[in-house]
Amino acid sequence: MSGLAPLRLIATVFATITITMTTQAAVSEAKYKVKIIPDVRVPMRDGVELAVKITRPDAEGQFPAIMEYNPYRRIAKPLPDYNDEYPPPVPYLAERGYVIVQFDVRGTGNSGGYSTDIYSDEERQDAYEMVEWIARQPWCTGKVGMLGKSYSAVVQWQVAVQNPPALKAIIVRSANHDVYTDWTNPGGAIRPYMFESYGPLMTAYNFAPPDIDIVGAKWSEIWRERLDESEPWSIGYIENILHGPYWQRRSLQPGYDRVKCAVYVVGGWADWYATPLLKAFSNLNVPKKAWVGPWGHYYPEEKLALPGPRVDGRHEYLKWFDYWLKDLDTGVMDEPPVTLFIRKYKEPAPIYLEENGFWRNENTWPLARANNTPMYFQPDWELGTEAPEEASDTYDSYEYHPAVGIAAGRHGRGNITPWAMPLDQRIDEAYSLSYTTAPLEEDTEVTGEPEATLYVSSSADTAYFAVKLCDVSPDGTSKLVTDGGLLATHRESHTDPKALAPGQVYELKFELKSTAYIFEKGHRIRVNVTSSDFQNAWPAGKPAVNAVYRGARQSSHLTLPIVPEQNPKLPPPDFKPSPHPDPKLEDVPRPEHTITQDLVNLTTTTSFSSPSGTPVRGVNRSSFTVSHRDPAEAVIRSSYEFPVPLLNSEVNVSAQSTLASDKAAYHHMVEVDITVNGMRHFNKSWSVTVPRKLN
Amino acid sequence: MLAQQTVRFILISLLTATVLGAVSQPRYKVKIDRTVRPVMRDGVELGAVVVRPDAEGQFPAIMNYTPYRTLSHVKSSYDEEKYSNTTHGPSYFAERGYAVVYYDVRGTGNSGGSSQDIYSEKEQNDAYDMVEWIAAQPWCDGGVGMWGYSYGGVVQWQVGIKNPPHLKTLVVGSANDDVYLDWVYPGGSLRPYMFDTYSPLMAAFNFAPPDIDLVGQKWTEIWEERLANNRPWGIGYITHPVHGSYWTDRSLQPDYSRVKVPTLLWSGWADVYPTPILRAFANLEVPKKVLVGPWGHWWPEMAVPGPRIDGRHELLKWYDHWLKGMDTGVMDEPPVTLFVKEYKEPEPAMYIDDNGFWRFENEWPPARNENTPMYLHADGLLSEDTSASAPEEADQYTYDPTVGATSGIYWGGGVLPWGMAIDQRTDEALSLTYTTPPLEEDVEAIGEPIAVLYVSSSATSAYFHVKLTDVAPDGTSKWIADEGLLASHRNSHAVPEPLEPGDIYELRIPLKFVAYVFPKGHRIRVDIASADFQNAWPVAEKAVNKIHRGGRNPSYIVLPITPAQDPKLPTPEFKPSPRPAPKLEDLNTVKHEITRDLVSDTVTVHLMAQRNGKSDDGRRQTGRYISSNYTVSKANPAEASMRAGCRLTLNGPEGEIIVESSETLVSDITSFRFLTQVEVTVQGKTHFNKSWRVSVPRRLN
Repeated sequence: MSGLAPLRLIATVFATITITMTTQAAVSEAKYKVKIIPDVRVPMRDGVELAVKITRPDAEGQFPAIMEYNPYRRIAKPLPDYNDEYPPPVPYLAERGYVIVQFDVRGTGNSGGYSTDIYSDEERQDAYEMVEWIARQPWCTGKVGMLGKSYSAVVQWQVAVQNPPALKAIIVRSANHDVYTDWTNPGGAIRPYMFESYGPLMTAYNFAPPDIDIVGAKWSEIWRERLDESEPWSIGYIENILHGPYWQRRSLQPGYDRVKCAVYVVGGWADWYATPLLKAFSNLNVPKKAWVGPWGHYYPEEKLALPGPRVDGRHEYLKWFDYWLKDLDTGVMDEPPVTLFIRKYKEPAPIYLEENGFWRNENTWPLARANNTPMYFQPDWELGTEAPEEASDTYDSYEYHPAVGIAAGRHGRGNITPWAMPLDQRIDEAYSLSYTTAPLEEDTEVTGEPEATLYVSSSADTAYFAVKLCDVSPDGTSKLVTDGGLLATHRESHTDPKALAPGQVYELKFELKSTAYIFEKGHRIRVNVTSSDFQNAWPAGKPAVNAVYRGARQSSHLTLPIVPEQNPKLPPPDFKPSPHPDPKLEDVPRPEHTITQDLVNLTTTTSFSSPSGTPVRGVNRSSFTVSHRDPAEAVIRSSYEFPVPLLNSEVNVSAQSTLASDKAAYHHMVEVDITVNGMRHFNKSWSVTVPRKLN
Repeated sequence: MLAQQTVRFILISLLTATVLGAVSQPRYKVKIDRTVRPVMRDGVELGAVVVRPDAEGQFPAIMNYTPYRTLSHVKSSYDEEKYSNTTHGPSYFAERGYAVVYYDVRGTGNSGGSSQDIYSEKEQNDAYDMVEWIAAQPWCDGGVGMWGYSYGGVVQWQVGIKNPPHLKTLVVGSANDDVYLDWVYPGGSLRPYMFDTYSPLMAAFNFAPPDIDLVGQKWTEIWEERLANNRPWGIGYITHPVHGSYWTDRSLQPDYSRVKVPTLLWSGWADVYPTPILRAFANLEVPKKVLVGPWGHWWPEMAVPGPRIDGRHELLKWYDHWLKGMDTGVMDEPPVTLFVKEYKEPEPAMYIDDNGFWRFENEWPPARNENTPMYLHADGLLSEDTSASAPEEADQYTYDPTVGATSGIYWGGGVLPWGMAIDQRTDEALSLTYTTPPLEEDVEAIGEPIAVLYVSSSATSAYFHVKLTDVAPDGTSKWIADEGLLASHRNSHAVPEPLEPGDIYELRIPLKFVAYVFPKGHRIRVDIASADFQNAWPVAEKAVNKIHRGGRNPSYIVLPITPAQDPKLPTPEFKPSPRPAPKLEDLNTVKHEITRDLVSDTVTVHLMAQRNGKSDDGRRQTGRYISSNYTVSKANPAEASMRAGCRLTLNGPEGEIIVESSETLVSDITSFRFLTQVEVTVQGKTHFNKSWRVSVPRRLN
């Protein structure tokens, strides 16, 4: 008796849903039980077997497939409740008639082979083969999509530009479109995060053993090959300190036309890549859609997708894939193609549970109605629309101080996410040039791609210029809205730095990160210019006095996309609510993140460590020190401790990393130390030195 | 040939002495007795050391006492002495015919008895008894002077106002004249130094054993009494958060006329007390003289910043005059000698040598001063133009308890010679600032700046802190002077009164005294904020505060602008220091770190100071380690905490003795809670462990 009642209930639900589907745009319903096959092994062209996990409807028939892959050791035994599988769209889409195929990058996780570089040629070729392998499977309709965040998103460009015939549509959640400028070396300067966190993290992961529960007796052979052949990826970062083929091969930019499938980009303003996603969106010549929310590096349906508001992104993915992979008329392509969260002032804090702002649909990016308005640096530290009339050689100068950037927070929140939001900028403004408008007479929306045009000179042959756009509230608080920076030696190209002639004036033009922000009436718009942003850019190596010119012919300015009201107004987007209740601050793990000024040695150090109590994925610790006396001297010391259970043993994979600079060179050292039950099992170290190249 | 030259040299020297004023010459061998134990009126024996001429006869005496366990360090030859804060040159004076007596405060060092509070009544009575005991000794001619600086300076006021009959003169180095305001609660706010360094240091000192070589078999008895009855002095500081008899019983202020003997005062601009030294000088009604150099908290021979001088010679001229009746010419000199500072780029450590020059003045402050009000105007302008006719306006700011990161720790506190004020721009980012246009000529300011602020607050209590800075053309803002005031103490430091939120109050905030030349092209700036957290415990209440200006509330600062001397006095001349210039590294091993926690939104100051030493015979290794963490919360100013400890390592008769104090001072919205603990281990085994706990309600502070 007890088994019958639920069946009847399901039947009733189905009836109701059928009616809904006929009246509104249809999406697939959750009608399948889900089956997970965690231990599929797919051989590649060279015999290397990749570890594949398939999450699929527990039913006969053919289904479209969604592929996802990364090197983050995600292929594992199914969880007790399949709804908890990551990422959240996996079980959701499987219930709705999709086969989700996830795999580990070769040389990582449970896959065979080895890995010496991020996004290697072999890895990208594997992905092409995997798309075609999936399409050939008896359970597949032959249509394949991709979905994924971060690494799993960047690789979608890499697969899409190869155009495997079966690939029809992708959902790119948080991807750069130029690995060098968006990720490793923004503006040409090394991003400290690469060596504080990502370097040691991936070293530890990539030297860790596979999961014996998944790979069985092969574990020893797989691990041995990895230990013998793999290399820390961070060596590739430091050896490719300039742009060039190494990065080009991994990047979408500039050949957007290579992509032929439909593309849905999803970004977050507190995340890494809203700007390149929107940039890709505007450049792609395919059916496309863009959605940028307030979030950090999360899927919007995750419980801790901060800052909120959170929504159920899964429904949006379903509308997209149903349309492109199942030919269902979900109406998704009838919606305005761009959906943005427009932010407004909120007092800066290290973490936001909720942003202040609202959702709005748009027909284009950038907005066609935007008025690109130059805001000139004026005398008396004013900022205004009137072009200067003063003599051309009028300038403001400042001493380069390598520890400015204390209040900048971490772009993309680094590994401290969702903490490390930018703070009140005033303590950094003390060492910046700041130009500020009068209080605004009305709300002023800036939505688009602000661009800085600076006329600069330096007493040194290299200098970095950081520009911040801030919102100054009536109480004086200065909130960072968006920013950008450029090594002046990269003014012509990121491949071939050119020295500055000391004292000569150069024009620097660079875009700030894209934004959608309303400066409220009574607030003031401020632009800060300085020569370091040390939490986000390795300091340039030479002491300098730098100058920013603001005369008639050298009229430094910021061009702001000022946006009038929509007319006619588009309807606002209508999202399904998040499947989770709003999180509380106590729910958010607390990392350590400090900035220490040593007043005896005159250094500034930023340190962090992963939240305690989450050792399952390992613990990252780092300290990054810059010297006030000599900007050439900077050092990151970082580690990743990764405990892995293996049979009845405790394996600990420890990666230690140092990146130190002096006047002449960068020195990078990596050491991997593996113990089994406390006894040393493996130890190897690498050391590379690369000359500074005007950086 | 050689002999002839020597004779001629001596003749010339004698001749010079006659003309310029003679001082005592070194003619005695020195005799030192470290085991002297005078008995006080209640039977307590004090440990004393007498350094005197090894000759028959009677000599004037010089007395010094502190609780700093110094008796073992007093040397019989100046050259033997390693530099020490407290044992400066007794041999120099003994060679010149003085008996120098050092003793330890009761309950400390090698003295018997016990001590529960700093500058206790019994301690003060002991000093009276000691002056009279010294005068009665067969080697004493009946005249007793005092010397000392810091503790050894402050106590001279306490002895001076008791006027023991045989006390003839004071030489007060670097002393406050109001213990509450100048030291423990400046402007009414607790000075963090009291708990990051001084309280844990003295708790450890005062529970440490005496030196067995000096006290012999009394060692156990003395130490046991101390362990049984001593109490950490920090308890007295925290339980007396407002002014009153506890503090006035220890202070010279307000009745300077109680001092009846001639007094020489000295201090340094980088030291803790140039202001009260000059204030006491101005108020004393006795023959007097004052010397303020560029120095930090050291004797002038070894101080940084330099230039250093032979201060002993200056003291000798004074003592010879007042204790030996010699005509040294000292009272013919202008009574005020100052080092006038000039701009030098800020550094976190004291300069080895500051910029500036020596100057005589006839009085303090210079009578020719033009005390010039500089008004706060709109757009951050500071100007001599009155703002009375300007519209009544206010500038407002949110009270941020983390302002003060660039202030440094006044005089270096526990980390001197580090801890100096650095470029003020980071603090100014969170302060109101008012700046003059670039100066058209040098502006010399020698005197007593005072800020008159018209303030209002959204809270019932708020602190207002004013900095005077010199802005160089490159933008660097150099700290010149400052002071703060708890607005609830505006009428009295004894009876705090709440603010009525929104009401406007006039606050008069006298800044620390200055002698500084603002150079042409520089600008003068005034910074106003409601915190200076390294020097003042943050006020509990969150607040938005306003500084009013213009009309009936024309906030201003009075700057003592000093015209050129006319006629010019001669330039002071000094004998050079007998010691080579110090190196910063030799002075102290310290840490001074300011950490912003970007998760909890707090700021923490971490201090550490470590010293190691050996006894003369190399047998006794001594060590001192003090460290502290002091955290203030941006989000919740009421919640601040100080955790500090001091560890002394000593060699006792039965092996290593470790005396360790651990203290915690935390505040919340309602109270201060202080926990102090002392643990003594002998050869690794616990010998003593005691803790004390007090809670004191906040009183609008």
